[in-house]
Amino acid sequence: MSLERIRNFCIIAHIDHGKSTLADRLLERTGTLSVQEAQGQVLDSMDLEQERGITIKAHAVRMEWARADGTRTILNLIDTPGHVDFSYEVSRSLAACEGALLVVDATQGIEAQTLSNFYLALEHGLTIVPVVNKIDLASARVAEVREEVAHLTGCETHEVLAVSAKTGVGVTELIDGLVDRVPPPSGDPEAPLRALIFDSLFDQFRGVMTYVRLMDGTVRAGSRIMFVSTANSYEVSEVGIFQLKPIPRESLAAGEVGYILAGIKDVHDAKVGDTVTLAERPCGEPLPGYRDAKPMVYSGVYPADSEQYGLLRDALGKLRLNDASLAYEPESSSALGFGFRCGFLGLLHMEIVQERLEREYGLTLIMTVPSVVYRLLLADAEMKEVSNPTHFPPAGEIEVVEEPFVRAQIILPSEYIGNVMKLCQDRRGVHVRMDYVDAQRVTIVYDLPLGEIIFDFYDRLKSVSRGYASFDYEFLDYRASDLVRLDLLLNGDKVDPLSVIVHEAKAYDWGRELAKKLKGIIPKQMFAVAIQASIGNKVVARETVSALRKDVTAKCYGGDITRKRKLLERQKEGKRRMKQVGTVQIPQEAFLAVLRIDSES
Amino acid sequence: MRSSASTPSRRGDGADARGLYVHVPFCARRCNFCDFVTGPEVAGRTETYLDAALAEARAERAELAATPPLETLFLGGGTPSLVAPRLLVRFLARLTEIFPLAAGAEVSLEANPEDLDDARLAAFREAGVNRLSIGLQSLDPAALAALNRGHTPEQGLAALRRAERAGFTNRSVDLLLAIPGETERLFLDGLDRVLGEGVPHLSVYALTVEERSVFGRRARAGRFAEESDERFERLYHATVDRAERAGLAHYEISNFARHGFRARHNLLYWTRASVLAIGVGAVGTAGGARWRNASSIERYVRRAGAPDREWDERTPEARATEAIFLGLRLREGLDLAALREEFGAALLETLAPALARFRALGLLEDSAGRARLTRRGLLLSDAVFRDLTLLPGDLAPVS
Repeated sequence: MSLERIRNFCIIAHIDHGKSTLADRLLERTGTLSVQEAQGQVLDSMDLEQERGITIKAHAVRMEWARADGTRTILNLIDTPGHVDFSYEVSRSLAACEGALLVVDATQGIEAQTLSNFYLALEHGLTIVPVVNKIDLASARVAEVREEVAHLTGCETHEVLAVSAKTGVGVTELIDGLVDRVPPPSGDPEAPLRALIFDSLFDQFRGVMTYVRLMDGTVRAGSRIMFVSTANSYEVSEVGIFQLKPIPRESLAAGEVGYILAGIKDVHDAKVGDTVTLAERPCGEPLPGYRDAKPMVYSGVYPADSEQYGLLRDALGKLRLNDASLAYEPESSSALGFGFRCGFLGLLHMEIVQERLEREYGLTLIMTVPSVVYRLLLADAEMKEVSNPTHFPPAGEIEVVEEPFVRAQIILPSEYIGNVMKLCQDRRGVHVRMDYVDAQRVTIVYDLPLGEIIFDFYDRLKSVSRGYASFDYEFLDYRASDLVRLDLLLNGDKVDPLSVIVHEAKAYDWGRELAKKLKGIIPKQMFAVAIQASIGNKVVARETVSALRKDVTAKCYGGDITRKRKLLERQKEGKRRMKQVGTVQIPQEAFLAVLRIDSES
Repeated sequence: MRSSASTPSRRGDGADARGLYVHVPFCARRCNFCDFVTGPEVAGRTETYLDAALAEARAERAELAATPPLETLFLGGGTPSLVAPRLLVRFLARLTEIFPLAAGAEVSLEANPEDLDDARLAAFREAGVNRLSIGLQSLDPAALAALNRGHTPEQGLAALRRAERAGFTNRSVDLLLAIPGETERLFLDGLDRVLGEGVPHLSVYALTVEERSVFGRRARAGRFAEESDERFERLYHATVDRAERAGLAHYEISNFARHGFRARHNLLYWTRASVLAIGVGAVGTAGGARWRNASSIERYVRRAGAPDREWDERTPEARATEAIFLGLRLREGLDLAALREEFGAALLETLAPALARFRALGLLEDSAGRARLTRRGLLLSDAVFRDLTLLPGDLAPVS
């Protein structure tokens, strides 16, 4: 096949700007999918993705476009995950393309993810085709937003296409524009194989299906392929393309997008970003940009009912088959028993894993306070990484603590600048710059500690901007900070899942707030319960749950006995779900309380 | 509970029965704290109900043919004192033909003060009643009004005296503790006046807000302020002290009696003896089985005393739980050796850590092979019982 007739592209957009709807319209207009089939959003195949309106896992679809003049073109749409947690996967998907449709909602204008996606696509040298979507809506500001987008992308206003993915208006022109503007792929089908993995999925019947973009060379069933990062080699059982379902082909060649099956049992052996080559004829240089997806956020995951430990272990094992970025290892807590320390790409990734564990595997979980990875230089000159507050050494043993910082872009209507800047300042942000997007809206750039945004930052941002601010961030660097470990004690016993690492200046407020919250959650017991927050040996906050004074049933005669017993049985069942620290019983919601600490109040 | 018309065979033949409870569900008015099965009294209704009760008694007698002469008979309600004297005399005469009483049996009747006129008292004596449980509740007029009671404090005290004159030495008085709005002074004065009357038995109940009572509805609507735990604690201790000073021993969480005047019928429940039951909503036990009659008065009468029953299928764990909490409600405490005898040594091993903890907390003490709650333990008894409750699987099968 002539490379001239192939276009590899992706769609990038801020959340809810219509990416999935547009993808469905392309499938329908190219005849890949019937109108009826297009009613569901096809690319987002996981339930969770549809519910949250985001794409978690990238897929690729091949379409054929017959132009009015009779020319035919192969269109490979490579879907990208739409969330900052998955920015590495996004970058690999972009690396597999030559062009990108930049979709902007005509009622909303440019948002934070529009910007970050645009710059990311630019970095990868992609040709940008700007598109304004939702032009059918009454509140659409088509002319204005086209202007904005032209300004951002440096093109002429008339070059910004206008469509309604919902009604289909402008979609034909969009596809023609895509074919005209995006360059065809280049590459030598005779050169040694170099293929970029941009996704891999585990299928229990067929093993790992590896999605690749071939840069050079050719691969066919029977080829012996090798993964450069691991040097593992496998015999290819099938290659093919994806048109809603896998369609086997004799071979895939440079410029093409497709899948490879090679009897691989584990997605960790076919990692996103890795280069596939031929074992007998390896390429000289692997493709650039490969790295191990590194968890940014860690949390302890415990079964609420300790008898579900085995189920949890099996469920994590199954999830990991399909999620190479999920890391976990066993850990135990004095309060919560046996569980796992899990590493996630970000908060959304964490929520998705939690929901899948609970929904698909019927587990009830207790998640401990999320933590970022701290870098410690110890007094004995040893370096150490800590992602579990429990393992944070005493202050005396630490020379320097470094924490991860991110660069955050926030786009908001200018009237909320004050609120948002205050929020960022409260979260120890360092102001970088502020630019006007248009007369009403600004972009504020802050460098923020990641540890500060994993606590409800997004919710707070939405609340101080009445929902108008949009937000995106990227990892920046590690910086030294005055961080301390704050512990929570009940009658002198440490509740390890409630330990947090906080900035020294905030530790007192945090401790007071947490102690107060717990006072409202821990039920009265037969003895008084002292709640203490401490830094090292220093108690910074104290509350007391007074002892129970009265818990008695006055009457218990013949007719009351069964009822009384059943009540006791129910209450005992409820108590079994409580966790115990020392002699103090703690309801499960206590472990969530810390997640709801409002550090601004 | 399982609903069933058939009787589990393990109910046996009645040979272990020791008492009989009869539920008389009619009231002149409904008290605000009550969630019992009651209905308004309508002319003729009581008579047909009592006929149905006799029919149930006969049927029970036929099934439980080995029932020995009974040691106690208790007429509870509702308001049994509302029953017309001639009906009551006739009913008890027939009932005791069906289920004969042992010599010296305790025959109790629950009474409201306003019903206790001389004619009724005489009729009760004639019918064989020898113990009256009188629902005085309070001697504070405002509190009585808040409870929707049908008598004044003066009527209450006068009824006590009339009953004594009519030959009822064995009188018990019910008082409620921590009625909203009643001051501590008023409660303690009332308690002292009752004790001053020389009653040999006293029951003092914390006002419990039952979900299906008027107070329960008010509480749900946010219109009911319960008294503080601290106040309850003070009043409870004061009650125990004053009752004991007046010569009434504290023998169960809520009950006090002079020597020889403990409520024998209720002691059967607390010691887990078998007590038969007649009437709507009544709960009986025999041969290890427990059942509860359905609550509909209309249906009970229509079916001539053959009510639907729910059976409480008690597992060994459930029986052990009951043994523990009923035993601990008594001031003499729980006989640990008997518990081991009945449920096996494993039970005591299971309970040992919790018992040790309660001893260390000063909620439990040992006396003569029994574990008994301390005063403070009594106030926290439900918390103690909760930890000692056994769930299915807690007990290894007893061989």
